[in-house]
Parts: sequence; C-alpha cells; structure tokens
Amino acid sequence: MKNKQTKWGIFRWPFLLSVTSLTGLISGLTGTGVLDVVSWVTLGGLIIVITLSAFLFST
Amino acid sequence: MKNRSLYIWNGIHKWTSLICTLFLFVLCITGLPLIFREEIEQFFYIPPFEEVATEASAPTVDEIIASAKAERLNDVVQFVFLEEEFPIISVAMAATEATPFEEGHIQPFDSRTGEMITPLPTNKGFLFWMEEAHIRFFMGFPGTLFLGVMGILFLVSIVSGVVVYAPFMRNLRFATVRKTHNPRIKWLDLHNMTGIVTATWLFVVGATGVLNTLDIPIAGLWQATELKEMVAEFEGAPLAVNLSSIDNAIAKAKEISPGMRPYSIAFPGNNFSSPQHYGIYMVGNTGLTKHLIKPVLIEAETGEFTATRDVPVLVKALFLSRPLHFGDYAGLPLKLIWALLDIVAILVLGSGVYLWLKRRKLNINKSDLFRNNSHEKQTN
Repeated sequence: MKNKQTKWGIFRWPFLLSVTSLTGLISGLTGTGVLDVVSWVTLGGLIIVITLSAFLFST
Repeated sequence: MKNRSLYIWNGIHKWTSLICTLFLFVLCITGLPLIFREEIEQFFYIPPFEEVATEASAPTVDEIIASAKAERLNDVVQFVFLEEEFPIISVAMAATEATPFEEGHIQPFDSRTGEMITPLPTNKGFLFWMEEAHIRFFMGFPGTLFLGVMGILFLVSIVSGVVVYAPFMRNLRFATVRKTHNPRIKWLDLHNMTGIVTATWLFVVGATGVLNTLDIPIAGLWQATELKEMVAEFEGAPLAVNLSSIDNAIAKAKEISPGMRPYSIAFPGNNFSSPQHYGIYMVGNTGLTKHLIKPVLIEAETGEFTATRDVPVLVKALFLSRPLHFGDYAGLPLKLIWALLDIVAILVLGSGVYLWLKRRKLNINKSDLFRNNSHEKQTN
C-alpha cells in the first residue's frame, strides 16, 4: 500500500468489529436461543479474524 | 496527529500499561478457570443427582430449614439460596444475625428429597484460591479496590492504545502481520492486530470488572438509602421472634411479582432485610430479567407484604456487569469463546511487554516500523 490511509481507512474495520463485538455482548445477555447464537457467531468471529490475520492473510 | 500529542498519547499508553500489566496477567490467568466455575463445581464438587421418581413428595422450604436448624442448634439462619440450575436449596447459618457472612456455615440440601449434600469447600480448594487472587488479590476488600484501580489504568491503556494505533497503520492494510525475520516488527504487528480486534471486548470486560470491584460499597449504599426507606415505618422495631412460614412468604412474593422466582431470602436482622422482615430477592426467568434482582419485603411474624421496588440504575448496572465480566450468560460456546479471547488478551499483554523490553532498538529503527516489508532487507 503506497498511499497514506485516511483516518476512516484505518479505522473502518476496527469500527465494524467494535459494533460486531457490542452486538454479540448484548444479544446473549438480552435473550436466549437465536440471540445466544448471535453472540457466539459475532464474538467467535473475532477469534476467526485473529487466526486468519496471524496465519493466512499476512503480507 | 501532531507529533507532540502523539508523544503524549504514547507516554500514556506506555505507562498505564506498564503499571497494570503484571496484575492483568494474574487476572487473565486466574479468570480463565472462573469462566467455567459452574462446570468445575458440577464436575468436582456436586455429587451426581439421583433420579427421583416423583417430586410430589418434595419437602417444603420450611422443612429444609428445620433440618438445617436441627443440625446446628446454637446457630441462627441468615440466608436461604434457591438454585436454578440444580435442585439445591442452601441454608446459610451463623452464630448471630449480625455475624459476618464469611464466618457462617452453608449447608446445601437436595430440594427434591430434603437430603443433605456435602457442602462445597469454603476457604480452601482451587476455586477459592482463584477467587482470592482474581477478586481480592489476597488482601480482602482493599485488594479488591486495588484491582479496581489497576482496572481503570487498563481502560486508559486500551483507549490510548487505540489512539496510537493509527500512525502505525497509515501505510498498512488492516490486520497486516508482516512476514519478516525481524521479531520486533512481527510482534508489533501482532500486538496491534490482536489489540485492535479485541479492543471493545477488552474494554467491556475491563469496565465491568472495575464496576464489580465496587459491589460492597454499592450494596452498602443501597442498604443505607433504598432498603432503609422501604422499611422506614419499622425503624427501631425489635428483632422478630415468632417467624412465620417461609413458604407462605415466598408465595406472597410470587403473587406480588408474577413471573419471577425467589433467588435468595435474607432472614430478619441482617443487612439485606430488617429486624422485622424477610427480604425475598426475586429474579425473572428470561433474558435480562434473569440477572436483575428485585427485593420484596415480607413481615416475618405476620407474613404481610410491606414493600417492593426496582433497584436503581447503578445497582442494575452492577447486576449486569457480573455476567458481562465472566461471560457465563449464553451457554458453554460463549464460555469457550470467552476463554479464547482471554488467551488473546494474554498475548496482547505479553507482546506489549516484549515491545517495551526491546524499546531502544525500536527507536533506532522507527522509520522501518512505518513502512511495509519492502524495506525488510535493509533492516536485517
């Protein structure tokens, strides 16, 4: 990546992950069933992002 | 960002992290088994429950309390706890009404048969030591407050970490971990990536942890204001002597708060009731209401209803901060994810310490840090 990124460029993915995390944290707390599954998928998604970044998508 | 303000944020991130890191390591490691507290208790401590043909012959709560009293003739009942996950009713007894709870004895019973169950080990055992370290840092309440201060530093370190993240990433794609033989660059990338991905989770677990450290003062404040108001007309009344049926008091509380079940009962004369009252603490059955406890005060001698009210926002926040801190609110899958995120947090801390230890060389090669690995040959 040659050009410098804008603030939005730097923070758009972290922002999206932050919204995802909050969704997961709250959904499991407010209900059961589907809402529990939402919390597993969203927060489990963080682990998947970390694993992929560390091992697969490195430059 | 201007260099000067970046310099300040960097300093904030460095120092807040350095001060709290050692304690955060302890918290992350001791917190790991506490996520699975229920499973550990069930596996090691609670005997398997025998199948009971019919629950029609289940004893009343009054009968269970009578058995507990028969075992400890000189003690008084302080609390009764009614488990939801297991068919267990526990009776907490102590020498007097005012004896500190920790100095009492808790006797669990099988709620279907009324048989006594061997009590969980108190003041010893694996879970006790994990809690000692994680909640009190071996120093009682001052230890709890100390961990709260460390938690606040951790929160500042997360926020400052997000601020100083930006300049590192100007020339890098999100979540890049450069393939390089330079371990400092690799660990810097890993620190940035794991830190930013888990930032929100870390912040929520950190903030709810800080709130949990204040549970004793928050409970004290509630007792001194709300609870006192609820029983104001009984101020100065003597301790109730002829206690009425606890089963009737429970039935009354259920009638007052439909759809809720009793979670714990405070007996007359302790901090969670009044000298004249049973404090019946009710919880809902679904979602949020499962975590939000609501007090119902029943006159202990007459069985008459006195008062009930929702707890204030601060107390509600405390109730919700417990599950949000330990991750035990959406089944075993969430607990496993919580444990993995906890391990990632250890990685964030460890990589941060590593980068600090190697800081001098980092400064020398600063220009390389902001480039991608096309310059790697020059750095090696």
